[in-house]
This record gives sequence, structure tokens and C-alpha cells, in this order.
Amino acid sequence: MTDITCTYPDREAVLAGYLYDDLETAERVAFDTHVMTCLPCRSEIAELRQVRTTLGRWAPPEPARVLAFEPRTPNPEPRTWWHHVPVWAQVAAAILVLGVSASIANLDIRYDSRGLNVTTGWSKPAPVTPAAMSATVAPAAVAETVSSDSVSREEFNQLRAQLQSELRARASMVRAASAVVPAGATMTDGEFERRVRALLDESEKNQKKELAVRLVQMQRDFSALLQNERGQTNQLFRDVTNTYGPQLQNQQKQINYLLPAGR
Amino acid sequence: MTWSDEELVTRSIGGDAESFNQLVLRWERPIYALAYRTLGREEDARDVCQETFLRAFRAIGGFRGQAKFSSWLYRIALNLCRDWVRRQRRTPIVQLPEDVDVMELAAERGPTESIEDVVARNDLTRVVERAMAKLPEEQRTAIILKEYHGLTFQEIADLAGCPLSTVKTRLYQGLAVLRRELAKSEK
Repeated sequence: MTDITCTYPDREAVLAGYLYDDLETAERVAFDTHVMTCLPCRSEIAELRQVRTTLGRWAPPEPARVLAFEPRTPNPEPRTWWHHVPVWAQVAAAILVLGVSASIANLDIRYDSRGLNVTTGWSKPAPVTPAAMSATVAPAAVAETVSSDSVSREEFNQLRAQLQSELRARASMVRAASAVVPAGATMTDGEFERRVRALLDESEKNQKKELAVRLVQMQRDFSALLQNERGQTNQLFRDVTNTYGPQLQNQQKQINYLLPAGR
Repeated sequence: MTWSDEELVTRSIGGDAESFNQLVLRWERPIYALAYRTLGREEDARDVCQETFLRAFRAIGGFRGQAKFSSWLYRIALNLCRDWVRRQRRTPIVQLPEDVDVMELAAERGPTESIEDVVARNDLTRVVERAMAKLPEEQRTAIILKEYHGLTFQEIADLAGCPLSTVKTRLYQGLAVLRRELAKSEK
């Protein structure tokens, strides 16, 4: 141990400041100069630095938890903005999109004594004729198709393939009809009108079939969307329960702790 | 985004419990360490730590930011430690509990720490705690706040309510006592 014989002014305070590097610059320079020529100060500084080194290795025990109550931890990751939109609003938005789409497509769905009648496009509907009436989709058939949730994509594809083959057949018929009539041959107005009407009727019939299929598809998509929303709602509810349940418990613990009667 | 202590305090005063939780999470370890080094007992340190945050929670509405939040918290904790020692009439600081088993400590050691290291660390802890127990309260507090919490001399002076030079002197004298006590234990 060092025997102190140094008489540096206010030595103890300056030495403490020197050890912790907490001296004004001028004070430090002056003491540095002094230390170079003062053996007791040099020795003591070395010994006290050794004490500091030893103190630095003294660590308190690390308990798993310091406090009896557990403060809430922040949410691990921020949720994307659309997670904050209520599910009912998301469903409403989906319905709105469907409505607007139907409006743009000028979709007209009628259900009357003639059954379900679906039309689209901006062209005026053809006058109702017996042929057109026969093309109207039978209510039972549509009800069966629309209400059936089991219409698979495979069936849809089959239907589409069937429609395409019918259209191809129709096109070949037209080509054949054109071939039968020799070039330059004249057709009576009645004959021409009958053929055109038949073609139009056939075309309208196919269009209505296709629309019915699309309506079914739309209904299926909408059902899937609702199902998905229901799943998300359930998930959201589970998330809320998992996230805030323990926190509420902890808050309750804190409240109990804070209340004088709780101690 | 990380809020500063002052921002969290402002939000806590405004009723945001989450902000106070953030302050607790940020300061529970330092306050616990301060209490442990002052009192020397894990259970007591935990109680003091809990009481510190409880008092801070109750009084935060009156905190006007004259000092740093951490200094305010340290003041509460140190007052509690002082009261604790007086009320319990215990000698502050010292030894690990009798039932602490070195082999158990060794079992909990880190992957790179040998049993010899654990034993050495345990011995060192005993030696330092015994030496610290020899210090008068003011010297011990000054050393703890400076050595382990990095407070400036001025902050310690403000906490202790004494002149700056007094803090430096207390610190020097405390270190001198520790040097002597540690030298004894080496013999």
C-alpha cells in the first residue's frame, strides 16, 4: 500500500475525478504534469485502478424476472393497414365492387313467371318471341345450378367446352349454308330473314347459357369470399384473445397490486 | 421507434399505460442492480425495485422534468434502500445466501465458463460484497452510482444533496477503504 506524502491541493477530489476521467481540461493537464513527477500519486492511481477492475467483475445475480408483475411488451411487428379495417367493412367493399361490376356490365337479372332471365351488355333486348321464350332458362334448371355449391371447376370447364363446340358447329353450318347458295344466287327476303333470325336466336341462347354459368361462378366466388372472411374473423378473434388476454391479466395483476386493499 | 425517457414520461402522464410499461422495462434491471448492490440480498432488492416503480407510478403526475427521469428513479430507490436498512435493522450488503451451492451455479454457467471460473467468480463476489459492507452508506452509494450506473459527479451530488467536491472525496475515500479490504482478503 502507498504511503501518501503528496500535498497536491484538494488531492482526493482531483484524484477521484482523474480516475473517472471527469476533470476540466486545465485541471487534467495540471494533474497529468504533477503525476509525472509524483511517485505516491502514480502508485495510488495504479492501485485504485486495480480496485476498479475488481469492482467491474462484481455482477448482481440475474433473476428471470425482477418485478412480480410483468410489464407488457410491445407488439412484435406492426400489422398492415388493412388488418385494421373491420371485417364487415371488407365484406361491404367486396359487395360494392360486385355491384359496381354488375352495373358496368349492365347486368339485368329478372325472375318472373317465365323463370330466371339474365341479360347483359348495352344492346337492347330482342323482342320476346316464342323462340326467345324457349331460350329462357328454365327456373328449375337454374335454381338447381345456382343453388348447387357443388358445381366444380371441372364441370364449369366442361360446360365451356360444350359451348365452344356448339359455336364451332354453328359457324360450320353458316359456312355450309353459304356454300349451298351459289354465288350471285338471290335469296328471298323471307328466307333471308328466317335464316338471320335463327342465327340470332341461337346466338342469344348460347349467350344466356354462358351468362348462367358465369352467374353460378360468381355466386361460388362470392361464397368463397364470405367463407374466407369468416375464417379471417375467427382468426382475428383468436389473435385478439391471444394478444390481449395475457396483457389484460397482467393489467389486472398490476391493478390488484396498486390497490391498497390488494396488498 | 424508440421514445426517450422524457417522451415516455409525458405520454405516461397523459394516461398512456403502455409508455409507463416501457419505462419499467427499460429501468427495472438498473434499479434492481442498484438495490442489490446496496442491500446485498436478492429478495430485498426485488422488493425495493417493485416499490420504486410503484411509487414512481403514483407520483409520475407530479414529475416536472427538473431532473432526468433516471435520476428521479434513482432517488426513489436510494431512499427506499435507506428506509429498508433502517427498518430491517440489517447490515447492508454482504454474502451470498448460505444455501447457495457453487455446483448449482456451475450447472447454470454459460457454455464457455468452466467450473473453476464459476468458483472464482463466486469467491470474488463474496470478497467484494464483504469489502463494500465496510463502507459508510454515503461512500458506498457514491461508488455504486459512479461505478455501475455511470452517473456524473454532479448528478450524484444532486441525488445526495451535497457539494460536488464532497462526492469526489467520498468516492476517493470509499475506493481507498476497498483497496485496503481487498488487500486483506488476498492475504
